[in-house]
Amino acid sequence: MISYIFSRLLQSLLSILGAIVIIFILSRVLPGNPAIAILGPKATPENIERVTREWGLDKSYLEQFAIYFSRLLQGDLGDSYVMGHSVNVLIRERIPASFELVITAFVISSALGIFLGILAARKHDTRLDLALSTFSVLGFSFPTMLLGIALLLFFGLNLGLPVGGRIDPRYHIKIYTGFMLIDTLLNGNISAFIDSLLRILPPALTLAIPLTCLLIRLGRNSMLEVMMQEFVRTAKMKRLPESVIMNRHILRNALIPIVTVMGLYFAVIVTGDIIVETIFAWPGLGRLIWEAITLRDYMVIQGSILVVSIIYIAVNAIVDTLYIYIDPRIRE
Amino acid sequence: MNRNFENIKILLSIKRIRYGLSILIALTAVATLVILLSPFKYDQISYNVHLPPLAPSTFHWPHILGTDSLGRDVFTRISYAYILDVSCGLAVIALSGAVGLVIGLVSGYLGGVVDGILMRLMDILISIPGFMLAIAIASVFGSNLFNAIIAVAIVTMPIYARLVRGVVLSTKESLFVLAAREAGLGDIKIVTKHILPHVMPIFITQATMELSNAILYIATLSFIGLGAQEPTPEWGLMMSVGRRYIREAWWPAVFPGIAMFLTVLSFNLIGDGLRDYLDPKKRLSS
Repeated sequence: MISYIFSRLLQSLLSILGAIVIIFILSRVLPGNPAIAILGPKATPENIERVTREWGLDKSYLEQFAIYFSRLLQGDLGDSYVMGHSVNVLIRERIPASFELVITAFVISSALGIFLGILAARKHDTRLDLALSTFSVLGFSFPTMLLGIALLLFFGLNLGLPVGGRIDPRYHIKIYTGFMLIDTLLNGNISAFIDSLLRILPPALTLAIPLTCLLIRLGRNSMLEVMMQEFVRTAKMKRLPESVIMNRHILRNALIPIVTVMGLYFAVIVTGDIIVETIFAWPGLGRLIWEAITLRDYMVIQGSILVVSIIYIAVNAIVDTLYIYIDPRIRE
Repeated sequence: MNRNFENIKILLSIKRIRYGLSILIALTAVATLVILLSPFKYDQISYNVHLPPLAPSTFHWPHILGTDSLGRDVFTRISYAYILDVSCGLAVIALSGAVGLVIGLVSGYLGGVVDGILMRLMDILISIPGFMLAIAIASVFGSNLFNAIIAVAIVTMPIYARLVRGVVLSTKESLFVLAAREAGLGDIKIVTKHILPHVMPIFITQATMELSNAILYIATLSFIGLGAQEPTPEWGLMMSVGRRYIREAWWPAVFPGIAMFLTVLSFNLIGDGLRDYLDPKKRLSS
């Protein structure tokens, strides 16, 4: 167990190193001066000289990587000359908004997806099952862009609810956790809480629906597979109560393949997050990446991608560790 | 010939493949007809900005899906975009599939150090979320459709390499391969004549599934400004521009999305059907 976690940790560190190397190579691969890519439209001769000195761009690639890597080890992602801030500050400001959105979407989709998946499996080969299967096939092919725009139109124009941003700027909310839903409550401001809840709902749903569809399908298939197993038949013959068979025997085993692909969901969410934050003007990391692309701010793009990759690698490592916790069979 | 015909009949008996193909054929027919017959050009700007769907035009043909913020006919643009986006998707899977196939074959067949190095390289590529890496690549090389295709191809290539390697590893030790080697066949002959036929069905199924992913990736890159640029008729770009005027007109943003949804759905259905066809367990149950 311990040795597994240790080797998994080592593997994650190697992956992070790999990601760093790729991003470094990408920033140096272009013919021409990387300083111009770093500076973007702000490339004046003085700035170019400054950046060249700062990142050692006149030295060998190995030395350049050493400079880059040692700055990263100190947690320094460099400065954005376009946005006029350090990349660290820009990312730190945006991360809570993205976390809040992604966690909300994750909770909605897990609850809904697993519930509907189990429902489809228990009622398999009925009309309800067919309807759920059709919904999951259609929903998974539905482009996030279209879903976002459709929900924006529905919530904003049809229902006339507030959409866009995290909260109405006229509320003055003191920030404690960075999570608007919690902070508004801590401020004791109920109308602000309702406003932020209404605003998080459309983007969270946009992220959650494709995942829900994936989970329905996976949950149904893995439940059906487990229900056919011999130990379930044995349990039935032992006349164990239905609920015990369901919870102890079937669910626990059916959840294993679902947990294994949680890492995959995370990659889907990350892609969707950029689109959703762009459409709903959600001030998170995805929106920051979009803004950086529009402004040709390579330092911010590079820094954000590195941070997202590290989170992604960490999530996958946690999922794998969780996996051996859930499935005692592979602990040996 | 007769056997091919039989196989096609079996494939067509799978519901999902039938549905997928029907949607695909219908889309292709509509797009071709519109491109051939529409009196509008895809980049023809006019003063008739944001005309609603079915608004009459000066021609015998109305603006069936309305006009966009520059007065261009949405239906005509969507049809050109269908050809463009599907071609881009095909280009992506041709590139990534070919490279991934070769890497997988070499890595699985040779094993040892070569395998170790190639697979570690694939691991590194996979360690960054695919879409993030595509953004990083496309933003370095500059925003255009060609670079977007290259970026998506690089990002999706490891999927094929790993898949093909797995199949090669499982067939490499089977009797017919050992027999071929005993008979003195060269490595290249063994790989192409004896191993490749086992790889192809799984490979083609994966490629079909990846086609819809590739289309989504390309459109998404264009949506955030890293792929096609104006006035190229491309779904992601059309939605991104349409989104800015969404309060005045929903159709320039929504219809390209629906076209993309139908296209992606048809490839997903065909891919699903092919997978079921290859999986004997599922074939029996359905």
